[in-house]
Amino acid sequence: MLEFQNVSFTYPGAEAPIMENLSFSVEAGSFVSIIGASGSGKSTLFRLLNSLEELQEGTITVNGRDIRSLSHYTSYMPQQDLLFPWRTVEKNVMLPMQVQKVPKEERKRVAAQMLAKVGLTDWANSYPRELSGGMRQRVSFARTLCAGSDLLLLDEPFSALDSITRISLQEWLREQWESLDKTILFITHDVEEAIFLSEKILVLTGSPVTGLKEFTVPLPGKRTREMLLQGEIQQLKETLVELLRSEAAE
Amino acid sequence: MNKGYAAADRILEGSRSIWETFHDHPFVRGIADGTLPKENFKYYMLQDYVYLLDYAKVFSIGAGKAADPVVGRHFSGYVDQIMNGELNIHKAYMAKLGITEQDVREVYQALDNLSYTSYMLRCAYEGGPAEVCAAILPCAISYEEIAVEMVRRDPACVDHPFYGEWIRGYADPGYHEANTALRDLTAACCENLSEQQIDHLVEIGQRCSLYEGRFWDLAWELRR
Repeated sequence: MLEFQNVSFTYPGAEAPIMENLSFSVEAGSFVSIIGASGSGKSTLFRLLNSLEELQEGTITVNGRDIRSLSHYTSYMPQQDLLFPWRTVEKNVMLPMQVQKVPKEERKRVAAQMLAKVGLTDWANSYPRELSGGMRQRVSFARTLCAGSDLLLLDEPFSALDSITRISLQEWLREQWESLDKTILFITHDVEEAIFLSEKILVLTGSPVTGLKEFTVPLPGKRTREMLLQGEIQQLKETLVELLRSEAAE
Repeated sequence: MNKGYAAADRILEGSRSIWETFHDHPFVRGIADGTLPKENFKYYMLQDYVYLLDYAKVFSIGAGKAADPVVGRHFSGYVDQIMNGELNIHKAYMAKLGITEQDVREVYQALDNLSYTSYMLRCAYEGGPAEVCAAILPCAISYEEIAVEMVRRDPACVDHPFYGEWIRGYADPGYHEANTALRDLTAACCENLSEQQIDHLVEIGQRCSLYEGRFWDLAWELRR
């Protein structure tokens, strides 16, 4: 689905590269989390993938095609919901389709479908300020889905929420993903969140980043929070925390 | 003066989260990356022109209501600046777009635009110099924020042959200075206000900021 091949990147004006010869791939339909210490290059990875930064060396392909020849191949969900406060929930959700010039009737149909999917049908005509933080993130997710691409980039979408809302949205997101045919790349700095949500965890290592350490999460597709207490999972958590600490110390 | 500045900053901070969403508005992105169809920009220019005529009136009311002659002089200075400066710059841009004098005379003010300026005028008529400041700040400051963010994301955007001039104008240090003076004026007008009055100013700022969002929508959707 997604492949980085020998990608190197240096920010203009910076002395040292932030990434060097980085290669990794992500399978279609998988849920993969990317974790790393602050400043480790998580955001740079997304920026490159979104073509917000120009690729200097190497190639990035999505479904075998170079991203430089593609458009609308990713849908991005940011940390802050960034919903337009002067637009209703429905009109916010329709925005990406409006950008893509999807006809109005089709926009309304898809938006209704997505709002039903995230359980907010009754809020279609409300304004974002009338919703709780968790509900706004669900609207933001619906808007991300409406952009229509198969690869979803979620950039710490729950980090601004209180811990209870956060836990329920993590469970909610797992359910959403199970019913969708989408590949999710999820950035977080929360090890437990990464374990609960994903099939695979990629840890950015080195400065510059030269590789990703890959961990498979030994949990079934249908999972509960209690499973996080299993010895094997606790061990994985410890390993990841230690790895992040040693990376941060370097 | 500290009390006045604290009030001015409350008005600004109260609207900041709304302005932050403007950076990702398709119309704003279109100016930044040069992909905005000229038809939309032309429509926006005409709507902005009639908006500015009303905007100048809001300042005029401030001048009329100011008890302090220094404040009155500032307000009338802005009126002159808009009527004899900014509008002429608009005309030059409009000439490039092939907009005629007649197009300008015949422009139909879009409903959201009319609602926005009518609300500003209402705030000015109901209130005094402080309400005038609260109503005009979102337009003045959010334009600077938008242009500065465009340049931060892509410094080359100022060189765009068509939209570069617009971006340069609002990202200019001179424009920033004018906005600093506007904040000073707001602080001077808010010096002796109660908490309740300041809450009302924050609300005016937020409502005008939401109208700014609607303005970007109407320009993007060519909505009347």
